[in-house]
Amino acid sequence: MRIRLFLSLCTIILHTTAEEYSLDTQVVTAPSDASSLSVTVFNHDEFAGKFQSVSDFLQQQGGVQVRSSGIGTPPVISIRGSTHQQVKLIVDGHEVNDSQYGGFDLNKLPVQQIEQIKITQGGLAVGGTVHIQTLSTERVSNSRAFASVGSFNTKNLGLTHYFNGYGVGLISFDKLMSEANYKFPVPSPFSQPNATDRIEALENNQFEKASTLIKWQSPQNSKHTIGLKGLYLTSKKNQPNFHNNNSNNRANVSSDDWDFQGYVENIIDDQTTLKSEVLSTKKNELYDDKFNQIGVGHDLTASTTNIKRFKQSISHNSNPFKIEGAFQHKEETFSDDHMLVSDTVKCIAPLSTCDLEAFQTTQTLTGSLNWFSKKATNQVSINMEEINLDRKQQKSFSTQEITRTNNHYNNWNIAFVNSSMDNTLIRLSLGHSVRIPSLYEVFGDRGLLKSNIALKPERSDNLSIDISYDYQPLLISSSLFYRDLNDAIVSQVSALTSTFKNMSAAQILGFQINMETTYEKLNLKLFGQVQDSYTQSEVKASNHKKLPGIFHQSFGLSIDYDFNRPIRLHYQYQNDQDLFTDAANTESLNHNGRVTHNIRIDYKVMRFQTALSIDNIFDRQFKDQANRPAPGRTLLLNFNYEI
Amino acid sequence: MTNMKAGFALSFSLLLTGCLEDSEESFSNQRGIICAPEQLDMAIQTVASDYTSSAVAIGCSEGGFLDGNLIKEGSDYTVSSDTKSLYHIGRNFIDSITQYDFLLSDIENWTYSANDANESTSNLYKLIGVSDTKAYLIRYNKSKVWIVNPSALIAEDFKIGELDLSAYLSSTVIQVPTLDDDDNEIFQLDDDNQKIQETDTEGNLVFETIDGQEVAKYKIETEDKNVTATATDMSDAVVVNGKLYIAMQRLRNGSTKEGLYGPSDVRSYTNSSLVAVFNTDTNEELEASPSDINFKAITLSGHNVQSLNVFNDSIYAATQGDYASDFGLLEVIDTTDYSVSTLIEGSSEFGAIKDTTVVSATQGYVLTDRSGKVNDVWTSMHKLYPFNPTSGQVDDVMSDFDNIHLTDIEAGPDGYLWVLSAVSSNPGVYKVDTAGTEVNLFLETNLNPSKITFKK
Repeated sequence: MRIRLFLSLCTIILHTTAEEYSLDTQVVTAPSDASSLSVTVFNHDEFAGKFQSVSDFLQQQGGVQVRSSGIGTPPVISIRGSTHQQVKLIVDGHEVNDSQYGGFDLNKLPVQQIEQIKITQGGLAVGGTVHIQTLSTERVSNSRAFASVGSFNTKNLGLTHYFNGYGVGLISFDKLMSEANYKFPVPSPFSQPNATDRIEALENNQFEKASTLIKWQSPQNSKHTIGLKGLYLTSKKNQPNFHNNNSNNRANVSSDDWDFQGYVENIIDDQTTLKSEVLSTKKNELYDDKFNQIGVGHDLTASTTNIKRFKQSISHNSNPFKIEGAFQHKEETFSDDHMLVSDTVKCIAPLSTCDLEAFQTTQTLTGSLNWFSKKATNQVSINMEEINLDRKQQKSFSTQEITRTNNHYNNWNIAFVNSSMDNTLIRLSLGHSVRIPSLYEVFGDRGLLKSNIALKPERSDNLSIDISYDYQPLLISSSLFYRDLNDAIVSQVSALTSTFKNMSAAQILGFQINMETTYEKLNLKLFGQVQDSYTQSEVKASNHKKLPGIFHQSFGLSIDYDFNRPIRLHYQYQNDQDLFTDAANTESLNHNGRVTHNIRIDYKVMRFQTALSIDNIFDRQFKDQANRPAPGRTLLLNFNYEI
Repeated sequence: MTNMKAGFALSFSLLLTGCLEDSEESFSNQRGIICAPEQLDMAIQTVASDYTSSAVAIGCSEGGFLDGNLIKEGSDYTVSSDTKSLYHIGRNFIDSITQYDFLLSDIENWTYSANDANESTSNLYKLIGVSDTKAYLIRYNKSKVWIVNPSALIAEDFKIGELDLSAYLSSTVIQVPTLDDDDNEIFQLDDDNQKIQETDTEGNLVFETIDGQEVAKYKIETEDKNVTATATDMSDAVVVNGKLYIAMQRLRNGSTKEGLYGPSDVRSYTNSSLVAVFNTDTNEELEASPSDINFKAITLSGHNVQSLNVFNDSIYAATQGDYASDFGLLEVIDTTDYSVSTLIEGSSEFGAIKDTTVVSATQGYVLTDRSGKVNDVWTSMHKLYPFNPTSGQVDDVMSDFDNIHLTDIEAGPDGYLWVLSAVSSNPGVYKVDTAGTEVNLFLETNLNPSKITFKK
């Protein structure tokens, strides 16, 4: 049993980085409690029907820090002290980080349409990678209907239906609506500006989104497998004015996303598989503040993102080696239109508004080599990624373009895993990774944000030592990590204008530990993370400080107790401390820390399952990592029915 | 064994904090001399270079201050002062003003809003005191100056009146589609009743993309519509001999694409900057341009007025131009007859005129902005030149202030010039002896200084 557990653990660890670029859609089925800290895997049943969003779920897992500022607002994630942009989000094998702005919405997909979430700490990304696998069509599952109701008049309704035809397919629909009218201390209420910090329910913070997922996969009994996926997401997030909570405010951001993905997989022989994939993505977004209720001017800006990709990969498995390689060609275009500004006055002066038109072509070559010793007690994994980028954007005040061509970047990672000692697994990992600046950071907005085409990528050298000790019923997983970050990209503001520069560096040393044990019906988990950071910056106020925006100390515990078969009680305690909200570490602005108690009761009988969650049970209000008031206690009641 | 390993791991985690080099130890915020309470007469607003936080240094013009006061999240704050009080002003979307006495600067007297109920952000810029019970609030996003009582004990007593500048709101004519009464047709038709396709300046047919389809763009029938801005963009004000002078940029004139959504904040840098004059006793506007039938206000030749500075009976108005080909002017207003003359013209080499201060009839300083790309990176660059306010003669740029990031200049007590440097690696404030006998005093600030004010 122990040997089997360790073999599965080793396999997961070895796939840490290779799988980021693998086309393999297979789902890792190892239970998450068997994972090391470098790779943590969560399967559908662990979050679907229990949490409202991916961020709500990850916020309660050790090792990653998620800043969530209310439903509908894209959350920010940090892994090993990273920034949000230093984390990659990969959905069904493809990176979805936005080239224009560099970020992503962790909650883009509803939890009910996700089969698996995998967190890789380190690897080929500066911070780490979040892998999301949408519902699998490997086999037919029961169709299910689901619904939830929660605080702030939040409602969720959906249906997933599997069908058999030639192969297996599914169609899933999910709709979420929320008033998100949580209480907020308003500095200057609109109706009574002098009633300083009056507590009011937030106006115009409503959020709604709908997601439709269609997938199909041909029968797997032939040498050729064909897969298709279509995804349509639509959302509308109203934008509150946190300062005066203006009741006339109607500002909002709405978006529509279309994804189409198709692949053909050819099994050449027992050892070799070829896979060809195409992916087309389009996103339209409209920012509407035409009555100047929240911004610094009247604004109605439409933007369009188009991405087309082709990817060819090969996998060869012949003991003791496993070799994978892939080539991807990606073309992205981004454009926006400031619709309220007359075209005749655009781009006529350094400070006047310009529409953006940016292009990026990327060729990525990835390869991984895994070697297993006999009995798999020693393993070596080498992963490399070579990226070539061409970028261009129209230049201000003329029709000329500013370009950066033939930009070469590479990431690499070497890992050695040893499991020769009884019950103990040791993993050493050394890597170098870059965070390529976004188009926005390089080219600016052709208005007040000035371009810096000399901007270099952020570079990080990562070292980690993971030790896992499994002596059932006790499992201890620990990780000591060190990151040396250089050329950090920082916004420098100067009066009316700003620009991004490579202005700082930082070192992060951290230790992370998880302990888990089970005694009869009781399961106990303890987790903790301590990080120390040290910055060097050209900006005096930010020099020799600690990194802002991350809790430097986090610890907690969770207890699961099975009262009897249908009822299960879950309690979690989490304590996050030592967070600086600004780069200057201004003492009076420091975060006060956060202590949360969460409980959940799961009830399952036959095909019916329900869960009642109360998060942050004792604290009606707490502040997020930016020191902004966030929703406090929240209730969520979930229902699932397998048809 | 198991327990030992677990214990080791826990102990290790406790030891980890502080492994890297210690962060800079908290150092004193005191710079220069320690000022006695009765010496306190100076406040400097400072902001983080990433604009995430701000603080105020409070001290004395003899040469010292305590940094790190009035710390705020966010950076859109500034300072003003009158004869005894310091005012900490929250600008765009903050719209509040807080009074402190220089003598007791750690005790807040009051905080009041600069917005009326149900009013959008006023973007408060400055308070100009006239007496203990009367002052004016300059509100950049509005067309009305507030008359306020700085001694008011409750918010309801704070605002005591308004000065209306709505006559100076810029307006412009835009083209909006004309709907035909019969069939709602908006397109221009040719002699054959066919829609006429748009062409660009080179005569090529124009297409547009609608719902992913490229379709012809047709000319539409339009009519003129007059639109008016909602803000005069008042940027500064001074009081001279019982008269209040209010500078208005008037950049916003209201205009939109097709005029469907109301006025947008398109700025026109060719709009005239004006200076309105009011009697501070009666709050009546004075006729300052008898020959101009349109306005009572003084019309400046330069555009985009940034600041007004007073010396004796003269007001020096700095206009920055359009940040591109217009580099602005330094003009002087003679308050005895409201005449305006140009002293200095900005240029690409000299820089755009950003600010000025005058310490004597023969000694003034002008701050210019030459910010632009250096090796493809946008760089803030400013120059400080001495000049003769009487003749307009400009001397060579001051060697210590040549092409570095400067944010404000101000003449302090005893004829000293104060220069604020936002050089990221060494931000601080220079006290310059204009007689040239003393070495410049430099007082570093934690954050970048952005505005300095002295007790009047």
